[in-house]
Amino acid sequence: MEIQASEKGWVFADMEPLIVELLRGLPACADPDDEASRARIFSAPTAGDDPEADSEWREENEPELHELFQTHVDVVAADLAAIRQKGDAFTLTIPAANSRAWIHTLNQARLALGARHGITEDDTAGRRRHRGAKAFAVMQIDFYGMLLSMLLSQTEL
Amino acid sequence: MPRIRGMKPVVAAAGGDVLTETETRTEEALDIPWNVVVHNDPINLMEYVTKVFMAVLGFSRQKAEVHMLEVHTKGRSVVWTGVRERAELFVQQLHTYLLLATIEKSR
Repeated sequence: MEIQASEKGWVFADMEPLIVELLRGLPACADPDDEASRARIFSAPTAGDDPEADSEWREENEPELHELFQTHVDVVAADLAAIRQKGDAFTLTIPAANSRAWIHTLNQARLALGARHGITEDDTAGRRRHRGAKAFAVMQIDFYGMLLSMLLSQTEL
Repeated sequence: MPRIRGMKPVVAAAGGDVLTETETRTEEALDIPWNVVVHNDPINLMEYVTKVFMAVLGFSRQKAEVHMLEVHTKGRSVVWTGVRERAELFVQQLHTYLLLATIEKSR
């Protein structure tokens, strides 16, 4: 994979099919479609100390946050749909204007994966090894984290 | 904007008329400052948390890094203290960046 950064944004060229599959899985990973990921993505302001306040807060804020987060995911999905293929090599372009949507979605996907699979610091630091779905989730978190770090290095929030 | 408990408009019927009142905050809620607390999680990147602190709370990079490290090493950091309404606004903004932020009474 070759990465070119400029003022206009990023171009990821010569991507292998596996990388493309990981990228195309980003919107689905970011979707808080289970209780654990939903609780993490829409966290409560008193963390359960005041259930009434948490409930009120959710009622008031969650729809707005859901809409905001979905807007970011939609931007990313559109960029992913525009991936160009030449033979076995794929090219993704991320316009600079979309970098915040990518940063948010990469972060949301990592957090949702972490909550869904019960990932701890021992897992992300490589102190514990897993197999199967959890191992794949840790790999996705690492891969998305690498992209996130790169975009963050050239983007102010 | 977050709704603040105890300050939401209420509609009360009195003698057939519909009145709009505003509940007053308790003396305690006015007197006690509120903390905005950010909690550690195993996923958020340190650089990301630093940049969110700079963007939302207006911290310098140095101050943002001090609080980020406090979150990382101690599990939590009080990043702001003051009136409840503003504290709730900060928590809401931090939630838009997916940080684990809560509000608590300052002791």
